[in-house]
Amino acid sequence: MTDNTRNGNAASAMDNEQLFDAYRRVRGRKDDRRWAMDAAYALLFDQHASAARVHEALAVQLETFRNIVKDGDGSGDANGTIGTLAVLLGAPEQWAAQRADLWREEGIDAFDYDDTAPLSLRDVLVYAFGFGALATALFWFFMLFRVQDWGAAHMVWRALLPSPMTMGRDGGTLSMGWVAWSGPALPLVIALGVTLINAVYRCVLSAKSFALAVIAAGAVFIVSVAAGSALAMAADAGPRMGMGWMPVAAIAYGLIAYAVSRLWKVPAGRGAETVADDLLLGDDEWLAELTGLLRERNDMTDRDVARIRDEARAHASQSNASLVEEFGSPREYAHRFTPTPVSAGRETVYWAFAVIFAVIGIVWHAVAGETASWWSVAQLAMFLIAFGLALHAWHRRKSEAKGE
Amino acid sequence: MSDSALHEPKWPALWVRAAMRTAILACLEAGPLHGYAIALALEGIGFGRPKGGSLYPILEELKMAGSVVDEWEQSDGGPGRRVYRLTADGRKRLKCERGQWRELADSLASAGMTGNGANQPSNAVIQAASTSSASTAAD
Repeated sequence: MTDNTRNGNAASAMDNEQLFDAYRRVRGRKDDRRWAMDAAYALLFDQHASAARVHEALAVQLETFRNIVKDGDGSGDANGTIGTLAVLLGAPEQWAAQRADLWREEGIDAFDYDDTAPLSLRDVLVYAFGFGALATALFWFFMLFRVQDWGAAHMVWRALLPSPMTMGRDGGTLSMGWVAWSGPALPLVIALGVTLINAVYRCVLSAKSFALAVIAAGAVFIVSVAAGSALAMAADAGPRMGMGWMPVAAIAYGLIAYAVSRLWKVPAGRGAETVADDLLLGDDEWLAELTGLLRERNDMTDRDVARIRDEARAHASQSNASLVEEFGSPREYAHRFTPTPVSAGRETVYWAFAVIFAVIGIVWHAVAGETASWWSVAQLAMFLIAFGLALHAWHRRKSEAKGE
Repeated sequence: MSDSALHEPKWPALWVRAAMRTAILACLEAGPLHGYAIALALEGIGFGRPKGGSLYPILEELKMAGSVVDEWEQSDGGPGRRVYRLTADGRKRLKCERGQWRELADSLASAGMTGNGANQPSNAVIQAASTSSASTAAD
C-alpha cells in the first residue's frame, strides 16, 4: 500500500473535527483549518451536499494539499512560498461551487435537501418543545436582570426555585421576581408558532407553490400572534407566580422533546426509499415527485419548476421513452440543476418582514405612550444588526452573480 | 446499423462530455431548436443522442451563462413548445471554443515532431520505439 493510499484511508476514517485539524497540521497554519471549515459549510449549506460527500471531498482535497506542500509542484511564488489555501484552491465558496458543478455534470447525486423537506408531526413536536425549552431558559435568564432587590424576603427562592407562593396582580411585578401564570407557557407558544410557520411553509411549498406557501405561513403567523396575545391578555388579570417556575418549565419541555424523539420512531420518508423504487414510477407519479422535489429545494422559482417539468414531459413523449428511461429517478434529475438566482431575493423578503414587524412594534410602543425601555432599545438594536447583515449578504450575492 | 448503435457517440465518452457544450452551441447555430431536436442534431454530428437527464441541465447551465435563451414557440395546429436560441454572446463563445478545439487538435497532430516541423519523429520517440521493439523481440 502506497503512502498516498494509506493517508487517504486515514483521512476517510477521521471525523470532521479531526479532518479540519489535519488541514491545520499540514503547515501548522490556523487559516488552513479555517478554509476547510468554510469549505465544508459552503458545500453543506450553500450547495446542499450530503454530509458523507462533503467529508469525502475534503478528505481527497487534503491529500492533494499534502502532496503540493510535500513535493512543491510549483504552486508557490518566486520565493517558493506556497500561498494561502484560498490562493491555491480558490475561495471556499468557489471551491464548493466547482465541486457541486462537477458532481452534477457527472450525474453523481451528491445532494441532500432533507433540511427543506416537509416536517412530520413528530418533527414539529420535537422542535417546538426543544426550542421552547431553550426560549424559556433564555427568557428566565434575562428576567433575572430585571429583579431589583435581591435582599427582599424570599426573593432568591422566588426567582431561582419553584415557589408555592402567589401574588395578586397589583403586587406582583417582574422587578420583585413575579411573572404572570402564562410566563412559562408563552415561550413554548412562541416556539410552537415559529415551528408551525416553518412546517406549513415547507408543506405548502412542496405541494403547491412559493406564493401559496408564503400566504399559508402568513396566516399561521397571524393565528400564532393572536393566540400568544390572547394568552398574555388572559393572564394579565390573573395571579402572579414566582419566576423560579421558568427553569422548571424549561426542563419539562426539554424532557418532553427528548421523550418524543426517542419514543416516536422516525417516519419512513423519502430517505428510506431506494433508487430502485423510484425507477418503477409511472410518468405521472414521476412528474409529481420531481415537481415536489424541485420546489422543496426552495432555490428555484415556481416558473422554473414548471418549465423543467413540462420540458421533461415533452421530451419523453417525443422520444417515445418513459420519463425514468430518459431522466433517471426524480431525485437524481432534481439534484442535477444548479439553483436559479432566487435565494438571495427570498432571504431578503424574510428579513424584510422581520424588520418591518420589529419597527411596527417599536413605533406602536412609542405611539401608545410607553417610554422606551432598555429591552425595546435592545430589540431595535438586534433587528437593525440583523437587517444590516441581511443587506450585506444580499449585496454580496448580487456581486457574486455579476462575477465581481 | 441498429438503433442503439446510432445513439452511441463516435468518440470516447470523456471527449464527448468535454466538448458537449460547444457541440450544443454549434447545433443551435443554424436556428432555434427544441430540446429533443437538439438531441437528434447531436446524434447527427456523432455525439450520440444524450438522454434528457444529461441534456437539460447543460442547457440550463448555458442559459444561466447567457449563451442561449429559451422561448415559447407556438406551432401551427399543434401544441407550443420551448425552443432554445443562440445569443450574440453564445455566438462569440462558439467561435472562441471552435478556435480552441482546432488549436488543441493541431497541437496533438504536431506533438512529437522535430523542431523544423518536418514530418519526422523526435529522437526520444525513436529511442522509446527501439526499446519497445527490443523487449518484444526478447519475449
